[in-house]
Amino acid sequence: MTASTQIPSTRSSESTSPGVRVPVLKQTYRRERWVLGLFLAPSVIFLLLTSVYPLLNSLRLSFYSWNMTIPFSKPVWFGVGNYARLLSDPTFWNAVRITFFYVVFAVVIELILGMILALLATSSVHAMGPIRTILLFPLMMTPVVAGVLWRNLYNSQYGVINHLIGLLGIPPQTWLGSPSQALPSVIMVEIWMQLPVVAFVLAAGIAALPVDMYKAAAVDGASRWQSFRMITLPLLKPVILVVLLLRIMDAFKVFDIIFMLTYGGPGQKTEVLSLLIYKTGLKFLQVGQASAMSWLFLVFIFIISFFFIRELQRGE
Amino acid sequence: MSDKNINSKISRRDFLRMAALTGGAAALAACAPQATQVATEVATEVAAPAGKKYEGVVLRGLGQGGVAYNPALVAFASEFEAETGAKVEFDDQPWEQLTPKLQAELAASSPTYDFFYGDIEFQYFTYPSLVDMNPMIQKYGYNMDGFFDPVYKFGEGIAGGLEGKRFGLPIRIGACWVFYNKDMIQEFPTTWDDYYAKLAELTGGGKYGVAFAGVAAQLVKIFLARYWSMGDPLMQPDWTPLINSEKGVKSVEMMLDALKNYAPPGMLAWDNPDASNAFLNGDVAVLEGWASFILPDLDNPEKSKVVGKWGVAQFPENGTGNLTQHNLDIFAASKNVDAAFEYIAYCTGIDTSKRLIMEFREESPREVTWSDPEVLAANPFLPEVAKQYAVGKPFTPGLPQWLELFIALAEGLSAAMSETASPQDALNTTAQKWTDAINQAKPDFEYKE
Repeated sequence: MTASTQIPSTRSSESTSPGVRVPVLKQTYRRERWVLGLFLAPSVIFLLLTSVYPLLNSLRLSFYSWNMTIPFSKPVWFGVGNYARLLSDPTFWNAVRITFFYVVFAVVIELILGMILALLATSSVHAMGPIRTILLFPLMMTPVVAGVLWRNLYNSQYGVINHLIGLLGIPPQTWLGSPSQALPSVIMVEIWMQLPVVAFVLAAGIAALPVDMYKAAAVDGASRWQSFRMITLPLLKPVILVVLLLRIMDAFKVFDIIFMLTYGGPGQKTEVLSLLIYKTGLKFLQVGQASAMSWLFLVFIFIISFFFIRELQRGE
Repeated sequence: MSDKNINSKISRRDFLRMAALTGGAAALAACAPQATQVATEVATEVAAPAGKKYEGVVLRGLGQGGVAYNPALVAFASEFEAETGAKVEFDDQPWEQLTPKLQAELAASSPTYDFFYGDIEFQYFTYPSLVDMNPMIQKYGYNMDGFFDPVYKFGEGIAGGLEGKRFGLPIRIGACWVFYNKDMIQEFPTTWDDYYAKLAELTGGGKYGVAFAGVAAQLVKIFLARYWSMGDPLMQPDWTPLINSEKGVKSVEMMLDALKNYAPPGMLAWDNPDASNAFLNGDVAVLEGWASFILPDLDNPEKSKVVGKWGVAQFPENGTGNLTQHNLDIFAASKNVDAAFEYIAYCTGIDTSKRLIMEFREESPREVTWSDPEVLAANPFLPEVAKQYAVGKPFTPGLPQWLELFIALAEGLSAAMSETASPQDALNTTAQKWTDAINQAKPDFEYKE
């Protein structure tokens, strides 16, 4: 208490009567904290209203059974019934399986190709200038437009892809209409859209690596592969982890591309979790069931994110 | 005042305080009614007593965008405003967005919209919040004559219940048509056996017998055309599904036969425009599809290779695929029910029905208009279509859960078509989903078609 009074503020002392000991600094900090709080309040209130409250409300609703399409219906307490039902629901597990397949294949291929492109981009290959520019094109396109574009490209009868493979003597494929080709076709569009992001982030990471170590390795007679394996990869690990974390979280949320290309079909061969949640919650208005799905989905993402964040912290 | 004084007075703390005050004032200002809004309200109140019947009234409509009658509604609104003074505004939404948008509207304490325009299916869950039209029809002497039969049969009540109540008046009717290339088919078959024999005959050499949209939701109409031609309803009177019966399986097998043997490859990924393009290109002999996706282009030489060479037929054996009806409804919370009804009556009346066909290329639900000599001269195929509409049925389980039932059937059919499930297994799964969905709020009246 007295500590603050031992450091007088000129301005404060000017405005106080002689002989009265005022805790000037404490008063100042309190006022500033109040003002800062006032500034923060709108964002905090906004987040509470738009994120925290809906999140908690969806948790509450996940324990209720409520089909909002039925007039005058009210939420009915269902306990863990929604969760229990999901665990034995083949449609849900089909969506989980497809989502994991989608995420793993998309992200792994993006990382491998992204790394190759990043290494090329940071090398002295002259052609990389225009290639870097071309790589930006998919980033400029909204997923919905990309979906329409690729839907036409994949058209089995009139699509450009079948025309091109026909020039190589390969028979036309049914792509999005085939149960076995639909998911890989959709994953290819995801890779096409996201590869530039991965490549550019990795390229930025590689460009920031210290050159001395490569020079020392070259003096020691290390091959390019050895330099990559022993120097680039270990030093780039934090960047790779960040890229993986962001891409995995993003790929889990995939919706628009599948919505435009297949709407989960044929059958339910491309029905990912986000699409199933959308259909259940916003089309069928089965609010309790959709909330339970969303929370299980959140838990999946949380577990994966936790693993990556822990790895990142361990690296630091 | 010197610069020194200014600098010494505006400290960081003062700046923060001033900014906070400014922010607070801005927030308060945002919460307060805006001057322009107040002015508008005052102006409206002042304008209200002027000459025309609904001067100052603004009707707000929410509905389905991307349909042929959207421009008609706008054009009729201008005429209605000129006549009555009521201004009409529209909020067109994609079909996908309408359910959540409607739910938000119904849940709102202060409703935004006066009327709705879109598929009759939306009424299946919004009906408690809609105005019963029958008393309004009587009050205004609205002419209910001359509609196609299904408008009377399926347009009243909900799913066979609530008889005597009508929640909307139709502005469009539609069903899946069968288009055929007259160069390939001189006389359209009237039995399924002959139809499939013809498809087999016409498939080969880069040409195919049939095309239809193969994405899940579009398969339902193709199934219903076959299933209903066999005479069974979709459910028993106690709402037990019948679709997984022998006739259901037979219908799916017929679809699969068409898809695998007589259709262009990859059709399961096709939506309506893709299927229409195949017909316009002259690559397929028959198109089973919605008229609105192809009719405007059929006689356009820049887009069609079948100009003057196409015909329309009914599905074999009186089959009919999922009749659609678009209605205009009034929200019960509207403060302008009478104005809304008069506008709706104007849009759906006999006087405007001919314009719907001639000006806006929309399928008017007034059968009487279809026999108008001028209309027939411009659309000589209409009598054949009219036969189809006369026997048309909507997706008859018109319960609030109808969309869940519809999508369950669509996904089951898609699974069978992609051969990830046998027709029997796919329909059994669908029937189970139907039972689960219906049991959530089982109707206390019998199912009927």
